[in-house]
Amino acid sequence: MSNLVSQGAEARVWEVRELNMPAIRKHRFSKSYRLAELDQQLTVTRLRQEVRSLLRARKLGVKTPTLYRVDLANSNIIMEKIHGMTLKQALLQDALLDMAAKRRILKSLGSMVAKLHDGDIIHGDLTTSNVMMSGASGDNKHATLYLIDFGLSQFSALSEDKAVDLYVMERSFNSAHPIDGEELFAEFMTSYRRSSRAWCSTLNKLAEVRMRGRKRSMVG
Amino acid sequence: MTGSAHQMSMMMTFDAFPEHTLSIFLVPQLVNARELRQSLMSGTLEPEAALIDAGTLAHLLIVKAAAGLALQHHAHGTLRTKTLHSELVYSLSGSKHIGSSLGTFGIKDDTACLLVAKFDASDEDMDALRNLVVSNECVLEEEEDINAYIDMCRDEKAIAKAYKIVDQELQIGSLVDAIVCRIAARDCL
Repeated sequence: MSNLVSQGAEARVWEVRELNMPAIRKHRFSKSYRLAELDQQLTVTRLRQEVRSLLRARKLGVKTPTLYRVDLANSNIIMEKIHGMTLKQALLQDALLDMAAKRRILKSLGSMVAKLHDGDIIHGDLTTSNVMMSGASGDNKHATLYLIDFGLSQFSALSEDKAVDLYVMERSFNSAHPIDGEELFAEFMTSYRRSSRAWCSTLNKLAEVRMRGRKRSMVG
Repeated sequence: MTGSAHQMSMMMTFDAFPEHTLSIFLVPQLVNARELRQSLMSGTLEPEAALIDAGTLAHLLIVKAAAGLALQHHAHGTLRTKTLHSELVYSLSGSKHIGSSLGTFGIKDDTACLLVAKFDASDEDMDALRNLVVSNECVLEEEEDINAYIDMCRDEKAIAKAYKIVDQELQIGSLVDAIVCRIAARDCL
């Protein structure tokens, strides 16, 4: 029996069993407003990219859920179910993590994204909802982070693309975690800088990207 | 010494394909590898089965993952090899190349330890297969025994090399995790 876990704009996630283990099935559904042939092509392309990125991320030492089975014909990806919560949920739960624990986690996340970017993978949707955390209890010394949802990912060596990735993360921190968001992102960036080879050009681009965006004057 | 009749082989089931089963036994110290392989190549092996070089296996879970992929292609009518059983062997590799995959994971002339697997097998099928293999030891039928033997014999470095698994990957997950990912991702690469 499957249970619907979540529904997004692109996919529905179901709880299933695969390889005799608890798993999740991510189904990319078709958009009826799209032309049928294009819709099918786009769905398959996105799915393949998601799988490729996941595999490449693992080769770079970035932890992701284990892939169990991919069914291109039915637009399904079945993967390991991570027992835990999203980083977003964890940060929003008041008493769950103390500041030291939060710092440790953000430090870890910074180096994960640095590895990803050094391997020229752009996540495409870097938000705290797309980071899973397991084992967060007690003093949180053993919390494990997983990057999930590579559905919008790309391969790119451009600093611009990496900067945009970081910018999305910054915006997600400031909007979802208004109180300590800035401090948390700073912690993330310190770690990113330390772990990344190409941080300099990426950070320069980030400054530029920040100047753009909505409701920002492009005059002068 | 061949296995005795009326034994029950280990049977794998599949969450996504409940209509199918995979019956398995392990032959330690196989004697007639060459004969079996020739019979397989000439198409005279009866009944149809997957003959897997068990030295290439990290864990039975790998067989399950490959079997699931083979069953999926079978259900869609998109098998890349001649039979469902050859597809199982092919699917173990995580590579798209059929020839080298079958060559690496299938029975070889010098295969010492053989895993025999048959989809939707009857007791008679399994008896017949047991009678085809010649070994110096008893055939293993129980899942725990088979896994224990695989554990004992596996050459992790050689397996990691065969799948091109890098150290970074082994730091974030097990060898089995890395292999299962590759098997699942094959058609997307």
